[in-house]
Amino acid sequence: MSKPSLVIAVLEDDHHKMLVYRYLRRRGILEHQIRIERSPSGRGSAEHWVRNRFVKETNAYRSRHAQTALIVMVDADVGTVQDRLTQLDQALMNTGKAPVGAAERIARLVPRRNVETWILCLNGDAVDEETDYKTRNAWSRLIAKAAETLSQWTPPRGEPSELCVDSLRMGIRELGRLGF
Amino acid sequence: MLTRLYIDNFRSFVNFDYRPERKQLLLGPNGSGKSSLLSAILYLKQFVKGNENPFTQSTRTRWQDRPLQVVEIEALLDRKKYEYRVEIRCAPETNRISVSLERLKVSGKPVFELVNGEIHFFPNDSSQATVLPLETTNSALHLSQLSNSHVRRFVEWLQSVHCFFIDAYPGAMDESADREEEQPDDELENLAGWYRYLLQAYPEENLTFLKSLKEALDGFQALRFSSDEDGVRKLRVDFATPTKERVNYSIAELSEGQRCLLALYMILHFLIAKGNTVFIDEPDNFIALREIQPWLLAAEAAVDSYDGQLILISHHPEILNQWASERGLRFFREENGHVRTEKFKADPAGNLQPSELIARGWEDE
Repeated sequence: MSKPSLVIAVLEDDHHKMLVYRYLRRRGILEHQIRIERSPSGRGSAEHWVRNRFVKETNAYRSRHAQTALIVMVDADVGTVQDRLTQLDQALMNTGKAPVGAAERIARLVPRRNVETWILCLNGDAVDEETDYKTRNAWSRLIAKAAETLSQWTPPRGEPSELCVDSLRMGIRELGRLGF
Repeated sequence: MLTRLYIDNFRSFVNFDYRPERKQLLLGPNGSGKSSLLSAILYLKQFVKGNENPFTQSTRTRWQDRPLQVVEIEALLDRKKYEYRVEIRCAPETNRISVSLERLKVSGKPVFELVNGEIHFFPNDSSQATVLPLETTNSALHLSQLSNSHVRRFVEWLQSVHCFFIDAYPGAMDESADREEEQPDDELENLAGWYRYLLQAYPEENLTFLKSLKEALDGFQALRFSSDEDGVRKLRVDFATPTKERVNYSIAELSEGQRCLLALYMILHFLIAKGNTVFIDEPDNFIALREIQPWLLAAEAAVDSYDGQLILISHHPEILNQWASERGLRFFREENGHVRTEKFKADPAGNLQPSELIARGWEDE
């Protein structure tokens, strides 16, 4: 008997990976229902890899009849969230495919400045989206707590706190598209 | 947590300095020394028990003629740095083995020392060492366990460092559990006896373990012990049939892959999730592709949550692609010389997955 993956996640690196994995487990998704594809190179050139992979996975999502959800996560870095969303849509259109539709279970997560901003924000730190917090240490424990908070802030069960940065607020709305 | 291992004049290790990370993948060609690293740790564990000395003339580096073998191990325990060093001399003419130095330091201060035929005990409540003459071929560290809690802590920690070469071939894992076994052996031959102990010691963790097995093994229902006609308790595995009945199998009747999954989830829930240091040589052996990532992600989360340490040796693309980029350590030997290591270098352009880079032999370019 096969055990099909229900959620496919295309991610840049380990911090993305563990945040998304722990979040999904918090939302009740089983170990075997998660499939993670991460960039082979870590951050730097990872954004380009994620975008290419996103096109392939979106095509696979659209051609699969069984219920599936797709998560893509790419840091905004020094750009804007909208820049990244446009790049993802443009990547689809460059291959003759439609951009992501409102009814599709595809969540595009774009942390600004990067995922570490979200992790700290979800741990209750006052952060801004310009500063690069990557050089701090001891991320493992922070990621576990961040995933717990992210789950609490995801509708319909919860909503973001006032401390929530804009890109995270948008990400939470995206996660709401997945339906779990 | 294991923080350093130094090996000199053992198999292909010459002046070899290894600083493990909390999660690490050891990769590299066959014969590059990965599994021998685990052997060195197992030999050290055996040595420190004090009954026998596995370091012999034949474990020295073959192409050298040096009498002294050296192993150092360092750990961070209870926020204190523990440093253990042993020097084993093999007399050139007689091949007679002797321990020329054995020392344990905690936060830079010696708590045990065997040097120049004298053993120095440092009791907890005294800075004055007791000195006694001792010529030995075995470790004497255990003699100090009762008088010094740091020595006891170190010895217990070292025995909790596990190096697994899971042997899932038919007949390798003993299904009988005539007694509880507190420690698993390195090939998990005593899996049934170990599980009998775990069931008593960790009933709550057992529920999580069984839940994982239900996800990983199709139709899995339960693990239970039953006694045969001679009264020997044997570990049986219950599976559901298509007609919703239960059938049970012995461990020997499972497939190699099923036995491996059983072993891997036991290691995950009862060792990694207890904060232990665990090495596993090729955990992917016999495992279906579909099963590797779920175990790996769960193991990674357990290391993070419980401050464990997991070091894998693997050639499997799935594990290489998940772990090599950020935590791969490549082992290699130039012209069959001593073992060397370097951090794995991922494709800077991000075009090739680590497994493909390795398959092409481009990983050292």
